[in-house]
This record gives sequence, structure tokens and C-alpha cells, in this order.
Amino acid sequence: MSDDAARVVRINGSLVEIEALDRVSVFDLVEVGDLALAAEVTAVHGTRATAEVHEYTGGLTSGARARSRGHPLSASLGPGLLGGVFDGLLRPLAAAEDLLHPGATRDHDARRFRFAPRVREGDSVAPGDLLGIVTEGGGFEHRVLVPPGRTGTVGWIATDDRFGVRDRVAIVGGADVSLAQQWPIRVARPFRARLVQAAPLQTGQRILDLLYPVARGSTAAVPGGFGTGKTMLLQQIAKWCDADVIIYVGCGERGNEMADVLEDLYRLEDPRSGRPLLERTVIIANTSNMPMMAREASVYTGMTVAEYFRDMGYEAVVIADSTSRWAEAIREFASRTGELPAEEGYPASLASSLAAFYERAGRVETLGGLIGSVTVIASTSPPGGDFTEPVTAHTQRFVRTFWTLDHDLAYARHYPAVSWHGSFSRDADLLGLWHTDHGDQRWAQSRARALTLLAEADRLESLVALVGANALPDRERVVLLGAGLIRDGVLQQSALSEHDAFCGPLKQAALLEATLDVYDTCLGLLDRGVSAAVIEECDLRALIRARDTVGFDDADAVRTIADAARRDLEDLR
Amino acid sequence: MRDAPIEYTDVVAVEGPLVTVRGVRDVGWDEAARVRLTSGGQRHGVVLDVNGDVAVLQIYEGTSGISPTETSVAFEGSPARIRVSPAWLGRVWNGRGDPLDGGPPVLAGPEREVTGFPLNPAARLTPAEPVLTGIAAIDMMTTLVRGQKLPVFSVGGLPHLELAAQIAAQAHVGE
Repeated sequence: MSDDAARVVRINGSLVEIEALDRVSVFDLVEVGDLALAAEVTAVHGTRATAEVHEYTGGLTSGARARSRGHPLSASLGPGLLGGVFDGLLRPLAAAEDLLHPGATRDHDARRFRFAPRVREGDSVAPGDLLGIVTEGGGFEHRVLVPPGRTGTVGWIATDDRFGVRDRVAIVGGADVSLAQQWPIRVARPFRARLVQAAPLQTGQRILDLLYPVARGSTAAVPGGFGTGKTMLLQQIAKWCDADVIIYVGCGERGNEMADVLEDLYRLEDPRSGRPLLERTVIIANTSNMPMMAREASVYTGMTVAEYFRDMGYEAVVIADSTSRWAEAIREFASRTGELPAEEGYPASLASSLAAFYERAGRVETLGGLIGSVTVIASTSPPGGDFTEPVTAHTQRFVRTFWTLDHDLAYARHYPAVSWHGSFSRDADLLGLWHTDHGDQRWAQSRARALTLLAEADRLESLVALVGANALPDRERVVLLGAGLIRDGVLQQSALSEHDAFCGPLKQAALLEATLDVYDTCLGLLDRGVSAAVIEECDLRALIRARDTVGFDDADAVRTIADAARRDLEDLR
Repeated sequence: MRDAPIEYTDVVAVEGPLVTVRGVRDVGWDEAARVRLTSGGQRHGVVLDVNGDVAVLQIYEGTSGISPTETSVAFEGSPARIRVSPAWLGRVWNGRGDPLDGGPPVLAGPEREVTGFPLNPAARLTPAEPVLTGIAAIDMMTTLVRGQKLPVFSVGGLPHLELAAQIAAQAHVGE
């Protein structure tokens, strides 16, 4: 292919127009200028192609050379991703310099990985079949699979040895298979079938798992105004949720927060495996001053990496913070191309872009017959806390679970500031069935009771503001007491506490059930003629503190504390 | 020393803050430019768009008094750069780095791009050290952390400038 004649003719920020590219298609990767800046073709008119450049274009001149790579923008998927930090195009940042100059970050991994074959020459294989295994840090089994679309007999397989990611490890159907595969980031990786049975993703955050759960392969959004703790909540989920692989996409957010999450993940141990959490994490960082268009690509890159691990039969979680910054990148480029602005200047395609992004989540049977999932948890940052703005409003339509962060809760130091009246989970009923099937008969009932109690207390609070708590009937005063116990003892959680930062499923259920039991005991006391004033005097602080004083999944200790509290209550006259 | 830059005189349009010049060669996007008026005086601009041999410039000082026929444009060959050195301290400068206090410009020191380059997120350290401002409400309740950035939210009529000046005057900075 000869591209000697191809020239950049127009530069307007991240938009460039190129003349005379040979056989170019939309979304092809193009290199422009002497620095070979990565660009992606977004439109072709006659001989002129429009492209978005993923790096700073300052100094790029009309007449600069351009070269089509002849394939779409692709991610290099292979061993070495886990524990790494990458930019929006999946180029390793650990190897890059401290200041990221345009064109200087290169996709290069010199490490070698031990490959152990699992097939023999002459075996007949199909897409998704296991070819061999690379054992990564922490014993993670990185499965090297037959790439999609490749079928045939194994003509040659490498012996147990060390290989670079670009080295050939097998020949299948006459073509080479290297340790790392290339996959276009905007194309969803294929699978055999979507699964309908729901299973919960345990995030370790009680208000999420107990009241607004998210299923594996489902989608959740966290909208929250400035300062309500979005990033904090997402980081907690990244650290503690019970997935196999976390892909953390820092999309247009602050670099210091990325440094923070990196340091925490390096320092903290996975409570399940005892290994550093970093070993199960891939970080994709496109901070707010890194090139705008690479940010647009970064969410697709993250999704592609997640699908790659899903295809190995793992439970992957994509955490994207924040999709509003991604939408802003789409808006910026759309305004440069002169696309008609729709709501708040976003292009009309915003809704379908968001829908297509969330649609790549799912729990599936892979091509190789394994079960894997991609769960998406994304934040939106509505300017001014206005949830009717387009990104948040559209996101709300497409996600299954919606965790609204409440400004008042955040400023009352109630962490996590997830609102119990503004959130929803469309998976809750299915997950209630899952809990019933897995031996927890009370889960769905406890959830419903807690939500009812909280809603009733919210209604009463507005009355209390007018007439004072003492003016309420005894039963209503006990409702307020019960809701207070749930808020302070169950829903609040301290990210800084050793025992409370992450809460295991048994302790979660035990805390909620114990609190509801204590509430029932109080109602029973009313029937026996004990006044609400006497009940309110009873010291229940040990119960409220139980979340912090007992181990991360110690349900028995919770029950012991609750039993003691109930004995104290029963003694009241 | 750079060669004397080519002066382009084919200005085809002046509109709002924008000046369009034709017939340019090897002009890069975001490149700094100087606009000279035959009536005397000099303006500064930046390239917003390059389309073939046509470049669109934004003029920082505005286009009042610019006539297409009596204007020439010279490009600097790169996005805006300034020399950095300790000589900046204790002086007053305008937004482009020209002295406003009657003193000399900075002539020594390495040249740096004004736009800067992104800091590699993997190379960052977590900010942890406080910047003491001597204002109790800030130091105790909303501590300023070295390496962080904290805007002062304000509305018209409130003394944000006094507060900012007080922070600038009192903040504990490194040597």
C-alpha cells in the first residue's frame, strides 16, 4: 500500500482532514505528521478523510505526511495488562516519561511470560478454546485462547518456555497466534449466548448490596453533584467488590485521584486471596489534561479489555469515572466537525453512544463454553447537580441500577451518600430469588421492610421539623428510632475503618436482620405498655457500632451484640 | 538564532477577534504569531485553524484598527513558548509574559511550551503535605494540600480577592 501522496490539509485542534489516503475506511487508524500521532478516521468525503487525533496537534502543519495503518484502532490484549497503568489507547504509562510529549508514548512491552501449552499438535480447535496458560502475578491464570474467527487444527504449539507478547505461540488453521491479540476497540467481542440467571456482584458496600444491588453482567450508574463522593464510592467498589478483574477507567478526572487509587491498590490486600489488589486491576488513565480524543477512546478500550478477560471465563468489572467527561469529548469533537448540536450542545447521537456502551455489559457463555461477565459501573457528573441534564437523564434509561448520591447526606457526613429514595435497582427482584435459592430466605423481605421503614421515617421527619419529635404518637417515635438504627448502624459505612471499609455478605445480612429484630422488639414493648420515651433512653450504641467493632464478615458477633441489645430492651418497664 | 520569519501580507478577512491570512506555508496549528500594522504597533495571535494555505488567527489584543491591506503576519514556528528562570520572581507580567513593570524581559533560561504537557498519571505521588495558610477555617476544616488545587467559590460582592491575596501572602511554600 502506498500512501506517499497522503497529506494533512486541515488542522483544527483534534480534528484533521487528510487528502489522498489509499483505501481508507471509517475508524481506520491513521498516523499523521513526523511524530506519527495516532488518529482515527471518522468520516470520508470523496478523497478527503476526516480524522480525530488522539494526541496534541500543536505545530502540525498543512502538508504533513499521513499514513493509513489499514486496520481500525485496536488494543493489544495479552499478558501484562493486570497491575498496569495504561493510557486511553492501552499504551503502557509505566514505561513512559514523566511528561507525556505527543508521539512519545509507545505500545511496547519487553517483558517475557512463561507460556504452558494445553493442546497438542494435530488437535482440532475452535474459537475460544484454550491453547495454553500464562501464570501472572498472584497466580492469576491468564488463558491464551483461540481468537474469534479462527478454526482448524493446531499446526504447531510452543513448548513450555518464556515468550514476549508479540511472539508466536501457536499456528492454528495455518495462521500464527501470538501471545497478545489485536482487537478493534469499538467492536464488541463475540460470545455464544447471553445468560439470564442473575447473580449478585458483592460490592462490600451495605447500602448497595442490601438495598440497591447490582447483578453480575449488569450496569450501574452513580450520578452525583460536585463533592458528593462519586470517586470515593467507585474506588471503594474497585478495591473490594468480589470480581476477578477490575478495569478502572479514569476518564477525564483528576490525576491526583489516579495516584491515590494506584497507591491504595498497591498497598491493600485482597481479603479473599491475601494478594495486593493491584494484581487483579487494570488502570486506564486519561486524566483531565491528557488528550481529549484519547478520552473518547478510553471507555471503549476499557470495555474491550474487560471482554477479553470475560472470554477467559472471568468476572470482570469496568469502573468508568466519569462518563460525563467522555460525553464532553464527544461534544467537543462534534462541534469541531460542525455536527448539529442537540440538547446542551451534545450531538444527537449521544443517547445511542451511551446505549451502545452499556449494551456491551453482560453475563455470557463464551465461545469456549465458559461463564464470564462484564459489569459496568459508571459515574456521571451532572453540572450543578442537575440530574435532568442529557448525560445523566439518558444514562438513567439505559442502566439497570442507579445509585443517586445525595448532597444533603454528603454534607451531613453520611458515607456512602447513596440516597435511599432517589436510587433504584431493576435487578432487585431477580437477586432476591438468587438469595432465596442460596439459603437466605429473609433477604428480599428485609430489603422491603428497610425501604418501607426509611420512607416512613423520611415522611415523619418533615413533621418533626414542624412539631418536634415529642409531639408524635409512640409508634411513630419508634419508627424514627428504627430508621435511625438502620441509617447509622447499617447504611453508614466508614471507608477508613479496618473492619467497616468492606463488609462481607454474611455480616451485611446479619446487621440488617439484627437491626430489624431490635426494631420489632421495640414495637413489642409498645404493645406491653412501655412508653417510647423509655425505649429511646435505652443505650443501643453497641449495636450501632457493631459495623465497626466486629470483623468484616463476622455474622455471629453481630448476632451476639444484637441479642444483648434485645435483652436490655426486654428488661425495660 | 532563528532566521527572520516570512511576513505574509495576504490578509483576506478580519472579523471579530479573527484574522484570516492566505498563502501561508508550513504553519502549524496552535502556533504563535505576530501581526504588524503598517501604522505601527504589533499584536499577538494564535492559529485556530489551518486549511490548506489559509490560516485563521485569533488576535489577543483585538482587531480594532486592523486593515486587511495594511497588515502583515509572521509566524513564530512553534506554539507559544516562554523562557523560565528565577528572574520571574518579584516582577509583574501580562498574560503573555511581557513585563508590565517597566523592567527588562527574561532573556535567559530554558524555553518551555506554555501549553505544557500532561504529567504521566503513573509518575504522580499522592499529595499528602498540607499548605498552611494561616487562615484557621482553611487549615483546620478544609486543608489545602500541596499539589492539589482548590478553587475559591464566590459571588459578586464577597471578598474573594482579599482572601486569595491573604492566602498568597501567608501560605507556607517550599524553599
